[in-house]
Amino acid sequence: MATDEKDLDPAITAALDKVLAASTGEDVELLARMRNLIVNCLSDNYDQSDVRAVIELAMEGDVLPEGDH
Amino acid sequence: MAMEIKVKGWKYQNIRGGLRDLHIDLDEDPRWTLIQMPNGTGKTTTMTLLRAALTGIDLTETEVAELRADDRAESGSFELRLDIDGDPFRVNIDLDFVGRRCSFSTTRAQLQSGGSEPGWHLPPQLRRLLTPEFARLFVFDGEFAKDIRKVDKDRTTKSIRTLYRLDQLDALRDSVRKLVDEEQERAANLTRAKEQKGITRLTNALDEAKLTLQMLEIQQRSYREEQATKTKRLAEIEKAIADRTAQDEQYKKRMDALTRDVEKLNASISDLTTTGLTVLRSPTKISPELLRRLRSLGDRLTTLQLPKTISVEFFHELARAEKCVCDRDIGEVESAAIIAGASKYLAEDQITVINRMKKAVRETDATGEEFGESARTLRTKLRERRSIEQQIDQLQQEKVAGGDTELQSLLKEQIEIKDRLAKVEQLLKTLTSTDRQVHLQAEWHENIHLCRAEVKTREKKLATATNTYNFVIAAEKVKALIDRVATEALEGLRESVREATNEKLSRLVTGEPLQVSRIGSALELSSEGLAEKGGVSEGQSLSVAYAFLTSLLSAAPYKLPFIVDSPAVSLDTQVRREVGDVIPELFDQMIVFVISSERDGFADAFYPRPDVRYITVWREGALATQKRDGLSDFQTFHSIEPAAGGIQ
Repeated sequence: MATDEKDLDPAITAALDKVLAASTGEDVELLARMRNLIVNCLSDNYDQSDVRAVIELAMEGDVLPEGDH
Repeated sequence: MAMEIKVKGWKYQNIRGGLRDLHIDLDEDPRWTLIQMPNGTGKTTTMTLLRAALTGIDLTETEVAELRADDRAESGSFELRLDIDGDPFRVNIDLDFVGRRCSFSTTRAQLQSGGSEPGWHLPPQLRRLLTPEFARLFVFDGEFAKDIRKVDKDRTTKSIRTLYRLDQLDALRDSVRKLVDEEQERAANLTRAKEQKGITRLTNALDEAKLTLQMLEIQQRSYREEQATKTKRLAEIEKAIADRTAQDEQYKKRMDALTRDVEKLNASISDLTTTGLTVLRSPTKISPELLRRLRSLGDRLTTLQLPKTISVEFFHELARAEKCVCDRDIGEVESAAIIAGASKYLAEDQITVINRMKKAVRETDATGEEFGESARTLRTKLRERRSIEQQIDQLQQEKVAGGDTELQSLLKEQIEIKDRLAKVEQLLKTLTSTDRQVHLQAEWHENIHLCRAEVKTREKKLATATNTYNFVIAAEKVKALIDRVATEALEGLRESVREATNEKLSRLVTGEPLQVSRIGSALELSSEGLAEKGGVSEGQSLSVAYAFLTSLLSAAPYKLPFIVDSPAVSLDTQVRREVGDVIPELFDQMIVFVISSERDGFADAFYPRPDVRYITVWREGALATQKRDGLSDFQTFHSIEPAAGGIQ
């Protein structure tokens, strides 16, 4: 079950907005799944299969974090 | 929604301080509870037991022994009642004073039997939060206020990470890493036996590099901590030496004069070193012999009559031409000869450099003695400094010979610390340097950056060998994104907690600027005016801690009770009143242990509030501790600390 983001501190939401913002060339679906995963993680509401699904999605896309470009 | 924890009460059986059979009940949910307990009636003991019950961490043998009411008591207990999101919990600590052991049991509504089960079983999401370290933040005593400002304790950042659950992102990273390991193991199992050997070797190599990296990081932390501690101690020693010697006027006068001389020489040596290095960059100034040789070289280059415009490129073009400048045909043989001979002539760029050099040598007014003179002066100054340092040593030795053994021991420790600091600095340089020159001389297992690179290389090798390269790269991307979110979130939280802390500080400490400039591994205060005053006072330090803690806890995703021991003892009356006015509003439950001297200024700030429970606990001689409820008894109780008192 997805966790509600409104329970998060605004500083954490701001960090998610900044790092996982969709911009040109980035895989929007991966970023959205990453966001869900992190939000759920902060509420202890995830398992290994969620993590694997995100990694497998990352294998399909080409989202590179800053510094790896 | 925030998880809420409320303390509903506690019960002591056979605990030191006369706490033989005492119940504190907070069932009516007072928002604020003020418990007046004279010194010696078990405030510190209560704080220890509350922390143990909240964290489930076993008490040590010594701690159990120290809780014993008296020699006749063979066992005792402490029971804490909690309300967690509306569900009742009871944590019981049974104390076996003979065997010096303790055991936990928990009673919770969810248990079908309704009875208790062995062990500490508060909700699992609290297990990570309720560490002994974290419990000290909300079961708080004044001593901890000092720790919050100590850099080496790294408590502020840890607190923010724990409270806002950012450390769960570490667990998420671990999950990613675990999946990579599983994927590689799975792939390795599919390989043929012949390949298996190679993969095992690569896996072992990667494990070795990862382990080495961990060790190096531990070493780095350890050296940094040692450096901080020793630097602090060195400053203390230097101050102690200065204080000690300041008492002897004659000595002080001589020492001050020598110190001034050393400072002057240091400035002079610094200037001479800069000048010497500048001179060294000019070859004509290094030595008369070098100047003579340069001039001789310049002359010889002139006599070579080098072509000014002809260059290697010219010969290459010529070799491709059909006819030479002398109108003879250029065949394959001639072309090869021209190209082979071209290198005997100089290219245009080389000619320019040589001409510049010749011009510089010809026009220089250098005598070649410049560097020698500079070096001689520097040597003289260094000798002078050594001589003065010897005089300082001599002076200190005279003082030591005069019977000042404390000075002797300070000087000895000073030398040892300086030696060790130099050594640690060198070790850290090797360990952490990003300098290519250092890297050329270091092995990967000696330097953190080289080791990280080695881990990455080995990871890639293993990933390639197991056909999991794409999975590993994708996992790296995911980890990097998690790291960036964690870093950004921590920065944002630090900043919002800092702003809230400063807002409260401006109300708590009026009249002078006391602000937190940065929340790093400790709370860093802005330095304006602090240096002249010799730092912050104990009261100010406590105000900083309260402002920080209340800012940290009040906005957190957990609603925790704030339990504090002697909150106002070291505060002056004005600050007490401010603390008494500001802090209560920030918590939904606050339990405060006070002594009678804290009533003025602090406790009386609660009197006009409606939702306060007042409890007075006292002990008559060797009798068991007693308790009374109500404001009237609370206000009229008097005691001469630490002796027992009584209700008037």
